[in-house]
Amino acid sequence: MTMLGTGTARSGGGPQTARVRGRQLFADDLEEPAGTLHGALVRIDRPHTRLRGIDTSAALRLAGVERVITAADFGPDGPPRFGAVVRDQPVLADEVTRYPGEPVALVLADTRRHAIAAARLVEVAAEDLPACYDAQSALSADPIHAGVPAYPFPGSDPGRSNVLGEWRFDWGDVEDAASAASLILRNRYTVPLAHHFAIETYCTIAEPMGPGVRITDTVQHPFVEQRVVAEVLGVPLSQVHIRALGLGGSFGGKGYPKLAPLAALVCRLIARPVKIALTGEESFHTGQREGCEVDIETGFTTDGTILFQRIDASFLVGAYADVSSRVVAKSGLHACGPYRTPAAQITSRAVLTTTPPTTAFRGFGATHLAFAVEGQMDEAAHALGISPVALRLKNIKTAGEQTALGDTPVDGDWPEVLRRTDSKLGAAAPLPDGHGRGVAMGMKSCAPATTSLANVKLNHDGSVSAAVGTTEMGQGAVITFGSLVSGLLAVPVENVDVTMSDTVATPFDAITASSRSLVHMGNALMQACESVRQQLQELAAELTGIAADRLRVQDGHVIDLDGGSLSYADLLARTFGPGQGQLVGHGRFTSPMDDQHPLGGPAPFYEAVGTGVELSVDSETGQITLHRVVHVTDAGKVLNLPRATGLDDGGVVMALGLATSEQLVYGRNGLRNGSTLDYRIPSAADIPEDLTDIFLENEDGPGPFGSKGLGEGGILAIAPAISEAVFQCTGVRIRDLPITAEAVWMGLHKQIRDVNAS
Amino acid sequence: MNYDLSVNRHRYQVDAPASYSLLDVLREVLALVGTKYNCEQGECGACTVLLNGRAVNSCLVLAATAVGKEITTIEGAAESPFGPELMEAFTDRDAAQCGYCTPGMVMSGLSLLRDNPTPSRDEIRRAIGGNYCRCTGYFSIITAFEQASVKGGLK
Repeated sequence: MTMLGTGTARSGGGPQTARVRGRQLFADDLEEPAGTLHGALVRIDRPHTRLRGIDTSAALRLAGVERVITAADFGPDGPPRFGAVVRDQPVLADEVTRYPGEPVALVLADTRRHAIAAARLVEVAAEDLPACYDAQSALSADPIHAGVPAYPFPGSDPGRSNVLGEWRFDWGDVEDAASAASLILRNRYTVPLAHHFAIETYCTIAEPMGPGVRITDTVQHPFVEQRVVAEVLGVPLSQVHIRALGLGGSFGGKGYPKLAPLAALVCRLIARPVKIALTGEESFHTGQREGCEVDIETGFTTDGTILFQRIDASFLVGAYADVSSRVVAKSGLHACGPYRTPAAQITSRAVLTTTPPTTAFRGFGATHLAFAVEGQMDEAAHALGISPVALRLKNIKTAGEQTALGDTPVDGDWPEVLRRTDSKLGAAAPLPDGHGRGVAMGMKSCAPATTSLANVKLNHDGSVSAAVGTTEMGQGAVITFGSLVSGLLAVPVENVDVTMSDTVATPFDAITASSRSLVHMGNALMQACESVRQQLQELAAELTGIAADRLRVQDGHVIDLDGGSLSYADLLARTFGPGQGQLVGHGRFTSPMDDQHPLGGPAPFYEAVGTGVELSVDSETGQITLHRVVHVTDAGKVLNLPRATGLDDGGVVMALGLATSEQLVYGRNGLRNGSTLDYRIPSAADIPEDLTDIFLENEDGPGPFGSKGLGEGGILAIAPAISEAVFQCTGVRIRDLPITAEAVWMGLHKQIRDVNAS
Repeated sequence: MNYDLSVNRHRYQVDAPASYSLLDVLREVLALVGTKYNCEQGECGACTVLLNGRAVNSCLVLAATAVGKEITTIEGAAESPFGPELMEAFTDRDAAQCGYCTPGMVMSGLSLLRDNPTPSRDEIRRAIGGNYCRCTGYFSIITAFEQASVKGGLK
């Protein structure tokens, strides 16, 4: 049995051809349903206000404007609240607004342009309330959710504080360990708010359908959205149809419901379809990554062995929960990263701030904590006179070792990831003058206790139609799953069609996230294909009298060991009659659940990576030039090498932006840099001169052919590697991201001032 | 306002407000949705089309000023010089992940290769410096451009 069908290497045909010809349709490309009204949101740009009145008269006078929906349209109970984890976010602000960009009204008009123009004419009267953008101000400010029922999270007390939740993970005896430590490093590391910046913005189309709705949305998790919309409408799941087309990038920003609850309610209210397509600037208010302030204390012996970690991480999560509670809790458990840590006190805290609700973002919090932990390793190395790589090798866990609080043991060769990164970076080669090197590790766990279902149908002409709830967003699910089915059922890849991400047409999939799909949906597909194959063999056995175990599939035929063969088409014709019938296979994969586990179940696998950089710094400007980057992923088995390479390329470059130029800046008037010009993502001019991606393939993963998930790893480790390399070049140690040219320059000039002063 | 536009060598009769950008007309009036948008202010390059063979941000072009010029969009790329080679190269090199920046990238590529059929890697990077991609990190796209160029070939 071939592993994969033909065509993977060339990634050709089907969806790729459509992409390069511009024929792939995204949500905003679809022809609107008849009678659609276009919606544009009226947003307040101040951080925290009490609404005093909304004047829609000027907007309503504009040509083409039908209506303006405000909180008043939702009756005495006000706008319903929605949320995937807790229903705390109102579909429109009512009485109080809590972040710059929070929607207070929805203008409905005949065209998008008319709606946007009218939205600018809606006048909102509001009085300012105190704003808070960082942990200190948020923790000392009055709660922004006064009077709201408590969040169901440990440490939450919304009537009294802006702590959304606080998770503690403790083991060993930290006091004891501290007294034995020869070196204790205490530092603060900060990571700013960031924006996913998928090139496709958000677009939601909702149509009333019976007592429910039919929605096309730019959403990663259609089944989560189905549940959330059903809750908001108060209808059964069966009355909510959600589908996603392929997304133009997402990276977590389009995971959890954003516009759909409002669109669903409004389309039913006005009994017409509603389409809301956001501008690029509005997307800045809609999808954000948490910021984080990490106070970390690490104890080492003289030979560099880690004795303890004390980590206090305040994640800045914005004004509503979205899925940030999960980000904070989950990343907190593995805050210590891939290193042996005999004693730890970890507090991972979600702090509400008057900024947009943050959500999932590639890396899911692990990036923030890795920046701190890896920084400690580098500083300790210098303090102890050990190389940063040697220090890491001394502490890094090996396969089978235990992890935090008894989670899944280490499932890969992590020391080899580190060694390979170091050697490929050319650590043995002399460092050119003015260059610095940095090597760092990253590790995150896959979300536990989730389910993927898959259906595979073998048609009577021998072609195959598969249906999976996974959403394609550039990670290559369509191609890779198509290839997998093609190989398993021995059908050419051009004859395999994969329908995706549609609550009507595809069976349940928990989420497309956490790098889980290859393992979970891949395994479900394998089971579904196995079922079809068994049915083929049994039917052939019945027809021919040959025992099923002497039969196998090859090139669209069932063959026996003596050379006889029957095509699938013939087999089905003989079973069902000419031109009729289908064989259907179903598969399911659920990763283990454990309600004693702090996250609900053990990690299905880990994504572990190493990133090494070699760079130089222009001391006049502080500008960094990346000469070489090496990135190593413990992949288990790579099923689609071009795409896996592309995902790591993209993750590393995205992380480069996050490490050196990206940050969302909030001030008294709200977001200061919410535009393409002012929020600087990497362009082709910014990429390293050389980037090499390496995959370790020890076939030690739980997915098809020993694979693990990948795609997030690129994001995890380049920031600390850059920080160390900059230190090597300049003697400046930067613990606040982004490491901009300005920050490096300031560091250099502070050094000069300090030297001059002494 | 009524005027004619030539798009992909086809004559279209347009009736649109005078303030409409070329992007607006392409997508909303002519239903040529292959051209994409994000910033709508000339920064991201998603809306790149060719005007008389040169790459422009269609969001910054007043549609009416494109009268009398030859407009090429992604829908016409296959019939353009280097079009088939570039599109094949994108497929060969897996240079489209989510596919959203791809139309703009391809159009920038056609503009570059028309003027410079043997670009260096640096020249390629400069040519696509105004086309943001968030998925690929640009490496596979640059390699695809190299393959499509006169000195290229599957390596």
